[in-house]
Amino acid sequence: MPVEQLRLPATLGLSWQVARWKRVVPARLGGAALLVPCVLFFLPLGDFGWFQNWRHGARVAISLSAVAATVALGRDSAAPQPSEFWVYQKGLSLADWGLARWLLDMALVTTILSVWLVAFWAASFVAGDPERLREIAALVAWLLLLQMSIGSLLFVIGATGSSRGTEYSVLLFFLTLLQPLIAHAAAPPWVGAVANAALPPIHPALDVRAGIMTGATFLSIMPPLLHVGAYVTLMLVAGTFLLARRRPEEGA
Amino acid sequence: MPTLRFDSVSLRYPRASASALADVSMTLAPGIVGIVGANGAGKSSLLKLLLGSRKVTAGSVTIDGDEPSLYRRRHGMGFIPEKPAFPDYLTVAEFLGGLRMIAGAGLPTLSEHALADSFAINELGAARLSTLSLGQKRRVELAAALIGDPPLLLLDEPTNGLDPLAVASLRASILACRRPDRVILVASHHLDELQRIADRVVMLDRGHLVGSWGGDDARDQAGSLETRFRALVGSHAS
Repeated sequence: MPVEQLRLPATLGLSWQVARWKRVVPARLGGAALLVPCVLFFLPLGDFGWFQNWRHGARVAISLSAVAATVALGRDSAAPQPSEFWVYQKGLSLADWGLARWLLDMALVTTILSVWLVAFWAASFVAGDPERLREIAALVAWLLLLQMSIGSLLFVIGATGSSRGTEYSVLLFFLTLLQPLIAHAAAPPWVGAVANAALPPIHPALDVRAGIMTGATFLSIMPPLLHVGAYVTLMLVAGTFLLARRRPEEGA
Repeated sequence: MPTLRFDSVSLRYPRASASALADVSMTLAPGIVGIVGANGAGKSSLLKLLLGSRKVTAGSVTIDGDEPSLYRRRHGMGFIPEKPAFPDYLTVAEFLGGLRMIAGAGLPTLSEHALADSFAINELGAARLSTLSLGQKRRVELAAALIGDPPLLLLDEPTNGLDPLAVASLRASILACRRPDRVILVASHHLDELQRIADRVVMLDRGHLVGSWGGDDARDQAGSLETRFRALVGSHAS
């Protein structure tokens, strides 16, 4: 899709999405909730017993927060809105409009993740366990791949017209965590292969992170990186196709 | 100057037992066209076909020779649904400004918005759409529908739920929208209202076109519209 084609919906989307961010999601309460991870990083997480050390606790906290922020901000990006016939009647494509809103919501999530990463990095100094550059790079890659995997899944769920994006994405996220068990228990190998292709590529994203952490060559992290890229691309193409076929529900 | 042509148009919704429109053929020229009919007669379906949000099951609909979706993408339209629906989190100024952006008119302040004066919505600029009264929403809807100066306006029951003063105000606004090169379709139950403003009246009954009157005939010849409605649609009108 040409970038030029998205310029108008993106400009309009920015004008309307900023108002939505301020007044609907995350709004003031959600905005305050977005600061919680920053506070968490400065707690002695290693002393809680749930985690091996501060670093482990902080990484779990930032990963779960990334999933929560992506779901909260991305669940409605492509979902039907009763008022979308207004942009439709003025000649705007609903596919362009939905894609532009999703891109803007994902850009906001990325901005929030950046702020959390800065807080995480600062907290690592306070905890006396400063993160090395390579570890930060691995965390950045992991969080971005996680965000895009969950975000693209939400996009296609919204594009189907479902308003239950949160439920479906959380369910699939947890199924993904169980994926190794599924693959192990599934007698026919194709079940594991289908699960591997259909579920969000959380494990390949973890492989990319592990590869960067251990200083693996770029070629060795290419397969999991391609897996995530293919999944996200497929979800976006499918979602855009569904949005292009959508007709607005006038005043529903 | 758009000409709307319906050729043997039928529309049946999925899982519906009967057609919403059946073998409707007519040609509509610029002016105010009233569409009357009982509940379920097919008035809203007719407007949805023109908007391009529904596709015909059989026959064809064209606007100036173009398929409706193509015409909408090229020229834009003005459509007001039966029930007001807005992005409620926006203010009036943000909403109208955004639609002006699509129409290629840039993002003006509300005070620069000529339509705002026409519909007395200047004072509403900072108000959230969710807080407006029904009458105010209808005025904002009409201003929004007119953005981009579309040659085709589709109004679905625009006076529903309005008090008499608001109805009179909306009637004046609709009449002010009349132009020699614009088609304004008004679907309504309010026969007396249509009789006052329409240049032509089209009557539907259970998806079928049962009558069509033009010019003065629509207003004052051979009895009132209500009498004709009762005669043609009969006892099953609800």
